[in-house]
Amino acid sequence: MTPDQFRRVEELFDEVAALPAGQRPAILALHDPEIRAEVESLLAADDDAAGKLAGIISGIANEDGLEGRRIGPYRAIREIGRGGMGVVFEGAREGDFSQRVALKLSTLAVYSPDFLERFRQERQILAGLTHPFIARLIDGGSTADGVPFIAMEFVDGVSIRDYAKREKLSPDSCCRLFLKVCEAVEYAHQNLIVHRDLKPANVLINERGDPKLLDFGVAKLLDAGPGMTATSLGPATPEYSAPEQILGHAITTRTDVYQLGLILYEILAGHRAQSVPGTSLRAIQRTVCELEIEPLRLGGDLATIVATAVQKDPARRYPSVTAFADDIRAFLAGRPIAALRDSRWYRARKFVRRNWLMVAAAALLSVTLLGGIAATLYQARRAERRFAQVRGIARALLYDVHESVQTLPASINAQQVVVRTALQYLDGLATEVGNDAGLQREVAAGYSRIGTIQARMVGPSLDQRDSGLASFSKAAGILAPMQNANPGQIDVAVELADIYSTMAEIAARTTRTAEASKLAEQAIAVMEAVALRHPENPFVRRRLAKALVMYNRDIAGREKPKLDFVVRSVTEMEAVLALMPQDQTVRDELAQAYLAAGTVCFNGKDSASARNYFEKAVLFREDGVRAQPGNAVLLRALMLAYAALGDVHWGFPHSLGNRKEAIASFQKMFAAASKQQAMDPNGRSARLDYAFSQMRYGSALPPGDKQALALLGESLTTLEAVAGIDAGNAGLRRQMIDLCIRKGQRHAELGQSGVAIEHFKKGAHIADALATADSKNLSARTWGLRATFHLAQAYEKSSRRALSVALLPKARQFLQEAQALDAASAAPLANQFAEWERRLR
Amino acid sequence: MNMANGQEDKQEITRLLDRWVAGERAVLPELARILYPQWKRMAQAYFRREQAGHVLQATGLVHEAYMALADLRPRGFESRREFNALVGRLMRQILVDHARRVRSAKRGGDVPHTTADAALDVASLRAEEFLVLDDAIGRLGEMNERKAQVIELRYFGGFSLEEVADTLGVSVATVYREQRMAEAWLGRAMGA
Repeated sequence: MTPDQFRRVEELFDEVAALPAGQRPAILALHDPEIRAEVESLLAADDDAAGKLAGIISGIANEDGLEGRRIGPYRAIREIGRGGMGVVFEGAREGDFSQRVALKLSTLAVYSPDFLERFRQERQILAGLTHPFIARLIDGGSTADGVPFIAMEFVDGVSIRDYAKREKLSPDSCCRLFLKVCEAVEYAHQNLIVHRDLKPANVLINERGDPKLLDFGVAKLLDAGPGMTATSLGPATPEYSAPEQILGHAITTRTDVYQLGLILYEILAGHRAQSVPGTSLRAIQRTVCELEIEPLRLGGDLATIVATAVQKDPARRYPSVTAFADDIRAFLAGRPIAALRDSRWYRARKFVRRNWLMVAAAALLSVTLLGGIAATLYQARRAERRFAQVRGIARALLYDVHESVQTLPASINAQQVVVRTALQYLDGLATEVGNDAGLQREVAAGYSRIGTIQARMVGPSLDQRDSGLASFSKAAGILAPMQNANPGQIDVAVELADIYSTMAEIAARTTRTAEASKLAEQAIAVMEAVALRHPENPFVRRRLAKALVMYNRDIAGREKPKLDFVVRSVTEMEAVLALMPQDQTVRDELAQAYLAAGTVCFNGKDSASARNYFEKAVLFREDGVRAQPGNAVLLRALMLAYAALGDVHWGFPHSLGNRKEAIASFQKMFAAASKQQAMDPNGRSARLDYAFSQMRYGSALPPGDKQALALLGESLTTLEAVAGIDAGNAGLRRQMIDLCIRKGQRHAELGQSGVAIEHFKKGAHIADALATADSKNLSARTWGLRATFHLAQAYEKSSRRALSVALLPKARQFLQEAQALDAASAAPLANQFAEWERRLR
Repeated sequence: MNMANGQEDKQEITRLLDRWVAGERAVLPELARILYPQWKRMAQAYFRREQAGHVLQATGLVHEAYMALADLRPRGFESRREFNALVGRLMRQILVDHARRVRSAKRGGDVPHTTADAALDVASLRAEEFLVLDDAIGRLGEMNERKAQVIELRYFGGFSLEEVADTLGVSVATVYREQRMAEAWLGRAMGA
């Protein structure tokens, strides 16, 4: 073909390709047969060409597959999907091919901290979601070459679209199935998570006909802050994107309402609500953002409901999935629906929406004004209606407005206004809810949401924490009577227990120990009541066990140990594991339970029981590391379990005194810490762990052991190096004083009094600097005294009494300061000081 | 993110970029060789699509690869245009190298033919197909250079229509038309 011919082909192709197929032959007929044949053959290839090319290029770029490879404790069996975020495989646990999992790998995470962060967030989001219609998180970790993965419940099912087609579902059955999907999305929203990528392929229906929601890969925590914007992600599937995703506008729960609407449309109609012609951005933008979706040809209320959900303008959609689902239920029951055909509703909403801005900007909306709006809006309408609208406003304030306001710089004032206004609405609603359990729970959820916002506001003052506690109390005040009336109601109980636990945490953080303890006990009591009625429900038992573990870990130790809680935290979690023996997360939680229980026992000086628990913790942690040798978090957990077990045997006044067993534990701790450091050679925490393991191991070795000196010396060097970087770390310096004393004692035992004295001096010197820097630092003074006592004794042993005498004034000053700070802990030191003075007399 | 393994590689890349600016197009394979290990993984991630046929959007990842190279960009790249063109060309070259490696691994002959080799067979077919496509892009370029450039920038560089238009100094509509015919032409060559 000559260049001239090619140019003519090009011109003709450009011209006819832009035309609908029907109009092409007329134009083609006007041209030379040769040119025409060429263009016709190009047109024939036109449709599939782009896909073909992309397939070839991605084929080569993707060529080395992961099939058959080991991923943590699993083996990848076959690829089941790919997305912008990574690859998904069906996998099985090594050695147990009956347990199928879906393995999601983020191959991008290795290259980009952003992707790693997003992946980590997905894992965190999934970990917080336990719902029968959401695919459950089982496990997570990294492959040997550092690619992070998540193991999820494997769902053997088909997409909701294929299912509806296969089962030839009637519109009513479609609606009923769809309501279950709404339930899952609502649950996510209550946990402040927007999915953002809802589409038929992400909703699988299993053999029991239940939906499972998948892929929270681009989901977002509603209050995750301004860091990750929706626009930077780019929608994965243009056809299922909401306009605000393409336009880069705020993503809210209404984005999910839109996508749910598209799904319902598709299963009812049997085809997509809209498809994007071509691949250009412009085409996507026009279809998604501008072209209204053609109404469903069903007629009646159902078409109106779907049309309301898929409005291009978020303000015109249902304000929440609940409202959407309510209308579907109304349709199924033959009741009138809320989304009216006339647009009065829309106009009213629009008016309210304008007022939200006022709220956010200047707190113009007060209770009085609310009265005014209500009058405008709901003249001559039933109270029920008004109530529904006010409820919508409160929700919108909490979820939509707060979301957009908090990303503004210096938005604390605006946030406070939003919170205050939302509280006023909720207080109003609370007086009107009557006996409607659903509404009561909704108001309670609103109060806890406010409590969360209040407690989390940037740099929360004590006041804000107090108001957070007050909001949580209101939520608890609504839920507690409901739970009392029906103690077997799982969801209410779990919500209530969560509220009590959060309150306990806030109280503990603000050192209100008695209150924290009482709240944590209430969380336990609530879960106990449910567990009694659902003894076979692993979710309930696990939540109970977690409440008990939380008490042992965060509350006990400040209070007298409650042995009952200790025993039950463990037996409950053991029962959960018996119900789901393969669940990695449960195994992990059980190990935590053992460790927390052991710590309570050890602090309560019951070292024999502590030993028993720590030994079990070690066993589970060893299993964990065997299953995932590359997982740094599990390795560190194992190291800490060895440390706890070693401490029970040796090193504390109430330790069991088994030096040999302690050495064995500390040796393993040391090995784990060494491995950890090899995995992360420059990590500060790994270096410190390593130094502390050397310190423990070295200190436990018998007197005269040469290796002890080397271990303690290296430990000291590491601590000094880290302290050099981390100048303000007082705790680290306290450890260094301790270490100087331990090492000095070793030298003294070997008769090396000169070196011993150098170490004691160094310890006293560090303490002196620390005490000078911080007049309120008690341990600087107590540890300074300990170092000084050792130094004085060493001087006296080498017949340098005068030097010992010279230490007295400084030591006396330390003692007086320590006594002023805390008389009780200074008392034993005062005795030692008196004895020293007597010796010198 | 580290583009190159070490300082030496970095210096070598800078030196090669300098030569590219000076008009020495022959340095491309050498540049591709040094960047190959990192870009291979990036390319894998980049070309992962939910389904073939979607518009190739520049992902954050390719952007990062780009930025990493941009760090080393000598002053000679006055405009982004020339640099964008280089990125598309490099990605293509890297995939060509990769396909050749896959093919020669298959032809190595010391691998016994068992069922376990099925994966390798598929890989080899894919490599072969890709090299045919690369060849076709070359032929298209001889006929109309800009069409080949559009394909390079869109498919290999991951640039948006607007960016490609900017790089080539033409309108978006032109890029769209060029791309459509280029796709049809290449698609026909590949039996679409």
